[in-house]
Amino acid sequence: MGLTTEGIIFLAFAWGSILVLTTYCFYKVIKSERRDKKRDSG
Amino acid sequence: MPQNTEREQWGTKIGLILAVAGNAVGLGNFLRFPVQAAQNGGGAFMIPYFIFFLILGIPLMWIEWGIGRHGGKYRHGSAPGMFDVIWKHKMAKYFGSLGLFISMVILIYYTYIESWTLGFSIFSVLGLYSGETSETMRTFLSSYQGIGESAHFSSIWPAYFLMLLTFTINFWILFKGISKGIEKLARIAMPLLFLFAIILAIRIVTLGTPDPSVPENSVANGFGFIWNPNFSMLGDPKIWLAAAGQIFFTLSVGMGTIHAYASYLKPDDDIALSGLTTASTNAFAEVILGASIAIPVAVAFFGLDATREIASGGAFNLGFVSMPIIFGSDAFPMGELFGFMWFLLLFFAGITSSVAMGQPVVAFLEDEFGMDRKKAVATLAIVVLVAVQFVVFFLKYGFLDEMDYWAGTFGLVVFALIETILFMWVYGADKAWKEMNAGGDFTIPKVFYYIMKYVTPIILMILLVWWGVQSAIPKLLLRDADPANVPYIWGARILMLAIASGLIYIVKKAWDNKKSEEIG
Repeated sequence: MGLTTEGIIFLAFAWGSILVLTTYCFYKVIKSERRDKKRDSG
Repeated sequence: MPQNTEREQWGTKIGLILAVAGNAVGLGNFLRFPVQAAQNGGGAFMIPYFIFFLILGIPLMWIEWGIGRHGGKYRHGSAPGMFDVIWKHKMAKYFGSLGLFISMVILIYYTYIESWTLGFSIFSVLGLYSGETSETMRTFLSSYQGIGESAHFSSIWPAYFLMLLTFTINFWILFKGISKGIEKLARIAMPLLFLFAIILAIRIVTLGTPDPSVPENSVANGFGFIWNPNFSMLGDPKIWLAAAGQIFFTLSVGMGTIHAYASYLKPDDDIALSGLTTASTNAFAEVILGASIAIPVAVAFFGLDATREIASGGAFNLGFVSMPIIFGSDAFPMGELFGFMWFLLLFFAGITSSVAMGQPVVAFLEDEFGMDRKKAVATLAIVVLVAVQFVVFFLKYGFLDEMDYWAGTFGLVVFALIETILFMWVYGADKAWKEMNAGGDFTIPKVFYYIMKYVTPIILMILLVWWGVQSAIPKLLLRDADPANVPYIWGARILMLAIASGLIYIVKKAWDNKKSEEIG
C-alpha cells in the first residue's frame, strides 16, 4: 500500500503548515528577545 | 491595586516558552496522537485536527495565558485568586479551586507513570527486555508494576524505588523555583527531547523493510496507515469529536498550569506570540515527530493488522509493550541505545509536564498563605507522597484509571468551560481581548475575538455533553466496572473528594485570613 498520492499531499500539508508556523513563531520570539536585551542594556 | 513586588520571574522568554511547551508536550504527543490519527481517518483526521487547533486549542492557550498574567499582576499564581480577580463574587475562588484539584490529582498518578519511563530507559541500557515476545513483554510490564511475577521482577519494590526517585527529582526542581528550577529543566530537557525524537524518527524512516521476506511490513506502509486519507470517515461526528479531544488534551489546557506559569510574567510581557509559539511547538512534537516513530515502526515490525490491534489496546500498550519488543529485537541494530532514547524522551516529556502540575498548589500556598517556597513545596510533597501510595499499590484495581477519568479527562473540559465563560463573558470579552493583546509582539487577528467569545465555549459545551452522556454517566454508575474493582474505585473517589474538600477548605481559610488582616 505505502503512502498514496493523497497521503503524501496530506503529510506535506500538515508538516508544511506546522513547520512554517513554528519557524515563524520562533523567528519572531528570538527577534523580540534580542530587541528587549538591546533595550535593557542600552 | 495591582501588586507585583518580590515575585519570581522567568529568566528569558525562550525559557518560558520551552517551559510551557514542556507542560504541553507529554506522553500523549508520542503515543496518543498517532493512534488517534490512524483510527480516525488517517490523513483526513488532519482536517478536523487543524480546524480545532485554530478554534479550540490556540484560543484556549491565549485565554489561559491572559488569565494567568492578569492574575499575576495581583500576586495570584493560581486559579482561585485569578478567578476572584476577574469575577467579583464570593464563589469565584471556589470555582478556581478546581484548577488546584485537577493539577494536583493528575500529578499524583502522573509521577508514577513517569517513573515507568525512567525505569524502562534504564532497562534499555541494561538490555533487560532483549528478545521478549508480545506475551512475555506483557508479563514483564505487569510484573514491574507489581501485578504478578516474572523472571525479571518478583515484587513491586523496583517500581516503588523508581517512583520515589522520580518524585524526589520533581520536587527538587519545584523547590529550586521558577527560573532556577523549572526554566532550567525546560532549557535542558526540551532540546534533548527534540534531539532524541529527531534521531529516532530518522532511524525509523531509514529502517525500510526490516524483514525482506515480508515486504508489506514496512515503514512506508506505517506512514500510509497514518496519513492515507479516508474521506468517507469525515461524515462521522465521532471523528470530529476525537480531533477536538486530541487538540484539547495535547495542549494541557484546562488544568491550571499555564495560568500558574503565566502569572510570573511582567504586566507588559507578550502573551500573544508566546501562546501561539507554545501551541505550534506542541504540534511540531506531535504531528511531525510523534507520528513518525511509534506507529510506523510498529507496522514495519508487526504488520498492519497487528498494529491495528496494538493501537486499539491503547497508548500504554504501544509505548511499554510493543516498543520494547521492537528495540529488543535483533532486527533493530543498537536497539538498547534507541530504546534508551525513546524512554528518556518520554521521561523528559513527562517531567516537564509534572513539575508544571505541582506549580499551581505551590503558588497558591506562597501567594495566599505567605508560605516560603521551601515550605510550600514540602507541604505539597507530603500530600502527593501519601496519595501516590494508593495509586502504586491499587493500580490493578483501576484506582489510577478512575482518577485519570474524573480529573485528567472530564475535569479538564469542565474547568476550561468555566474559565472561558468567566474570562470572555463575566470579565468581559473587550477587557479580555485588551488583556491578551497588551504587550503583544503581534496583534491577535480580530476573528479570534469572536471565536473565543462564541465558538470555543460552544465546542466545549458539546464536548462536555457528549462525554457526559457517552462516558461520564456510565462511569459514575459503574456500569462497566469489574465487581472486584468496585471498592477500589470508590476508594479513588473518596480520595479525590478528600483532596477537593481539603482544597476548598484551604481556599476558604486563605480568604478568611485576608479578611481578618484587612479588618485588623
